[in-house]
Amino acid sequence: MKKKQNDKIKKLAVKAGLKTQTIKVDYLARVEGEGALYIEIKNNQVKDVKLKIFEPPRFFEALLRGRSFFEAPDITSRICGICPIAYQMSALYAIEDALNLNVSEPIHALRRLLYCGEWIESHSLHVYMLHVPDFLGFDDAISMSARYPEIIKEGLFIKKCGNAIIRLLGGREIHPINIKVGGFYKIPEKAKLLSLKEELLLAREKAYRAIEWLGKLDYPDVTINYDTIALSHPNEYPMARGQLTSNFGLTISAKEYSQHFTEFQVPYSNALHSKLMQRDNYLVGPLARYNLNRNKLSKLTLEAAAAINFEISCHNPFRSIIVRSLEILYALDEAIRILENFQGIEPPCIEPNVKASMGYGITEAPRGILYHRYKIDEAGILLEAQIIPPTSQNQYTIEKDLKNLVSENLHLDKNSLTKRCEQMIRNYDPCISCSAHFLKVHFL
Amino acid sequence: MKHKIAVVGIGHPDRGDDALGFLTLEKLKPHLPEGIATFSLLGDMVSILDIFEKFNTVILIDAILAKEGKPGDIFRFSENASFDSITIPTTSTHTFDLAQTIALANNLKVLPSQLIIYGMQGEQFQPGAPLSFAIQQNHSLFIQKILDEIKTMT
Repeated sequence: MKKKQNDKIKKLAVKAGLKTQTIKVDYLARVEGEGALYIEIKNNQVKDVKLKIFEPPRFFEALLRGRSFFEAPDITSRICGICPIAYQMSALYAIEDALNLNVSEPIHALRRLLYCGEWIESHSLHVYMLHVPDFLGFDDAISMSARYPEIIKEGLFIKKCGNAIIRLLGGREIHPINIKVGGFYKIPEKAKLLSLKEELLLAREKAYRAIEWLGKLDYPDVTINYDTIALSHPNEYPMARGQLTSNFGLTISAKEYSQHFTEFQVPYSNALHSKLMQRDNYLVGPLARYNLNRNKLSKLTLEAAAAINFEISCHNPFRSIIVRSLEILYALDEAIRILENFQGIEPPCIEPNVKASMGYGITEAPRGILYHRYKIDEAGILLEAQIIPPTSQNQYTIEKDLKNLVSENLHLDKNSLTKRCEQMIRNYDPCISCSAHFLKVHFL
Repeated sequence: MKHKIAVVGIGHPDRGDDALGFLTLEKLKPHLPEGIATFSLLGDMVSILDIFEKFNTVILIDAILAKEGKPGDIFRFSENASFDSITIPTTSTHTFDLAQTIALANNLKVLPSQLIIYGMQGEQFQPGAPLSFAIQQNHSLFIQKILDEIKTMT
């Protein structure tokens, strides 16, 4: 049956003129950063797929050496203007792990609120501005806004609510400055936090409605059985705490990460690829989080998923836009819960006892797990830093998925196939600037 | 109810000529008539939509790359059609640049009654670079032109 289907696709491919073709997209649009796509088809076989990340390396791991551990959250937040809080959080938790610093539950909760703000703004940017035009047949959000202004307006409103949380708790929207090792520099008053509630409630209504219409769109029929990796926590949908878990039995701490995962370099990309040592490529991000932690979503989010009969486990990357939208709804719901329960924090920060040590932190950036490791000396100076962002972890999987996608769609004309490939890449919301931060140094 | 006039400086202070909007706004502030709102925008252009919705007249100041222009040339645009002839430097494909944001505002029908862009042709946009010599030479004239126009509005 499968062979018959493949033969049919190959015949259609010849008809479509795709027997020998090269697909090149020199600048990927609607993704963050600078990347390109190269696919070579010879005799109806996909010979080569390269997701080329040519954004220049950014040397952050080297920049951190010799700096105080206090500076790591603020320096690493500069890796990305879309998800700076993810970098701050992974840095904080790694350093607090190194220094055996256990912050209080209220501080965890307030950090979670800040992370909700980032999930809301990052996911809504991707869903409404970058991804949904693919499913409504537009080249971009601007052309889409002429036909569907309300969708864009609602997306912008939701994004603004995420930004408002970040501005209030973080001090400013981009590269916030209010969180520090041990807690916060300044805790906002409860009244100020509650001033966000009215708009968050409105945004939550809009996010719920969005899931209803997203559920009605047509999605390519694709099933991929990924190895999925995400944090899992016994009491909460994962953001900044929990064990690293998988759908194949792996459950480890952040400290054990390097025993199971490895990075490797390819000549055409400035981002390192990642794979599981004992297996191969794997997936991080909203699909992995949802599949491994669905039962931790809020009642309202599960109700929204049930209303569109959304699958309990999703294996279609094109439907990741719905999962992202469920996570927007969850983050809004969670933000409202946290600010309603907030009782103030005193003191805003606990002071660390500096010692020579190694620390590990993994948190869930909007695009998936973000790993930080730091070696600190007895004076609190960083001797080593390692940062593995989600996009570089997904890059190897994206290439494999593209290879399969092209093989199964050789009957499409070149333009349609190129568009489908670009759409596939956007399913992962890759953040190329994040992925190109690395530096390999060879010491003589 | 909409407010009257907003002046918005766009750009990053540490990226060569991209600092034009920021620096110009800082120099304008002490001389602006009372009641004029000012905003500095470093990154996310989409937040301009909020300003568009709240003000009748918005004056944007930014470094530009006009198709026909040399470094330091001063431009003033006030008709939507004339925006087509410029490219505002963009640093990311993930967020919208100014020209895209104006197009978006137009489709969403949130453009202010009067939108004016003052720009100077930029030359260098590298992180850490100073303002180019050509921009420095014409900067006082640029500031005076903007101030003169604002004074005719108040």
